[in-house]
Amino acid sequence: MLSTLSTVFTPDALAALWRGAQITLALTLLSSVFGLILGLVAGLGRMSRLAPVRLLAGIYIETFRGTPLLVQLFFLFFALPQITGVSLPAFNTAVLGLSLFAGAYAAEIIRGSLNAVDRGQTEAARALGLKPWDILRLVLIPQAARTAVPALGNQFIGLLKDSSLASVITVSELLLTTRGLVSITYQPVPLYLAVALIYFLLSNVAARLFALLERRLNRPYRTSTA
Amino acid sequence: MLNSRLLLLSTLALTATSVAHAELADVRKRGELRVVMSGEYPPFSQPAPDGSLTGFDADVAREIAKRLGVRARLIKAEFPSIIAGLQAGQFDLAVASQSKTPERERAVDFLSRPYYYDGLQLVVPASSSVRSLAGLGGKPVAVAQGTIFEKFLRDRKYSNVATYSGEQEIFLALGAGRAAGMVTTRTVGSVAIKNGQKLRLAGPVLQQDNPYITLGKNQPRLKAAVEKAMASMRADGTLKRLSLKYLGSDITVPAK
Repeated sequence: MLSTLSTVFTPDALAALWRGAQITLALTLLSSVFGLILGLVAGLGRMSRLAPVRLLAGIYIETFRGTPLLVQLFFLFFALPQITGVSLPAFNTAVLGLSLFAGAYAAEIIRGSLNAVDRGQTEAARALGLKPWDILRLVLIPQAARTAVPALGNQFIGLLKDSSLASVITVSELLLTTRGLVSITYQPVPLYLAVALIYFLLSNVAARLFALLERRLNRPYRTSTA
Repeated sequence: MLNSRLLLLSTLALTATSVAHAELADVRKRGELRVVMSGEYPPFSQPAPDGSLTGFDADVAREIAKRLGVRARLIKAEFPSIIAGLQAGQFDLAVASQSKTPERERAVDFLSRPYYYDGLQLVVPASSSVRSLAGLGGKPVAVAQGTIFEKFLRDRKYSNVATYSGEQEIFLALGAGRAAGMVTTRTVGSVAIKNGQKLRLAGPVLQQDNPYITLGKNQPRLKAAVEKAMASMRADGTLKRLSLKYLGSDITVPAK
C-alpha cells in the first residue's frame, strides 16, 4: 500500500496537484469578489424604485439562478464566440461564468439581509437628514452585513467546489489535473481521495475565515448586551 | 420565458455558421497554434511530469506548430467538447485521434489523409473468457461518450451500451465489475495492459479505425499549411519516429 502511494504521489504529481489547487483558488477568489460586486448591484437593483432597473435585475437573477452552471459555462465558452465573435480565454470565461452565477445568488442574499434591517433604522436616518446613499452606506450595509455573512460564506464555499465544473471548458483546475494523473497512473482511488482531502482543507480554511469575520461583525452587538 | 429565450439563443448558436475562425494569418499574427486533444488518452495524449502534455498526439501537434513557425499551445478537453470548441473558434486544430464520420464531417474539416492507422478492439477483464461481442450476451459494454466506439456499438444495435466521459472512468468501471467489456483502439488497450490494467484483448480487430487531424470549417489556408507540414513530417521520417517512440511500432502507414 505504502509503495503504491509513493509511486502515485511522486514529487511531479504533487507539483501538478499544487498547480491545480492554485487555479481552483484563483477561480474561487476572483469569482467571489466579482460575484459579491454583481450581487450588490443586482440586489439593490431589485429594490430600486425604477421599474426597468427592477426588471433588469430580476431577469439577470432568474436567468443565472434558473439554469445549471454547467450549461452557463458551455454557453459562454462554445456558443457566445459564435454569436458575438468575441472569444475569451478559458480561464477568463470560467471566472465570468462563476461570477455571474455567484452574483445571482448573492443578490438574493443581500436583498434579504437589507430587508431584514429594521425599517425604523431607515426612518431614523432619514429624520437625521442623511441622504439615501449615506443611509445605505452608513446604516443599512453595516447592519445587513452581519446577517448576510453566514449565507454568503456558504455561497462562496459552494463556489470553491462548483469551480470544478470549469474543467469541462478546458481549465486545468484541481479536478481536471487529477483526472490527468489518473490517466497515467491508473490509480483512481488514492488520487480522488487526495483531491477530496484538498477540497475539504480549502473549504475548512474558508469556513474558519468566515467565522472570524462573523465574530468581528458581531462585536458591537456583544458588548451592548454584556 | 427566460428559459425559452436561452433555448432560442442556443439554437441560434448551433445553427449559426461559424464566424470566429482563426485563419492562417490570425495564427501567424498570434504566434501561437491552439491545438486541442483529450489529454487523458495514453499513449496519444497524457500529462507530462511538468504539467504539459505528452504523447503521440502532443508531439505531432508541436511538430506541426514548429513547421508553421509558431508556438504550440496544447489544450486538454473532454472528447465531446473538442468539435464544439473547433466550431466556436476556441481551438485552431484538433490532433485528437478523431475518426471520420459523416456527422463530424458536417461539423469540422478533416485533412486529406489519416495520420495513423489503428483498429477497434474489444477489451475485457483478464479473468473473462469472452472472445467476441456476441459472447458477452447483452452485458454492459463501456465506451467513451461521443466516440466512434459508441457509434460502432449503436450501429451494431448492441443492446447494452454504457457511456462514460473517458477511458479512465471505463477502466474503473471494468475493475468494479460495472461493465463486462469495453471498445477502444487496439493501441490504447495494449498500452493500458502494459501499464498494469488487468485486461485482455478479446478477439480480432472489429473494424479499421483511421484517425484524422481536424480543424474548423472555412480555413483553406490553415488547412493547406497543416497538410504541407504533415507531408514533410512523413517525408523526413518524423511521423514514423514519433510512432515508434510512443506506440512501439510504426502505425503511420496502412497495415498490409
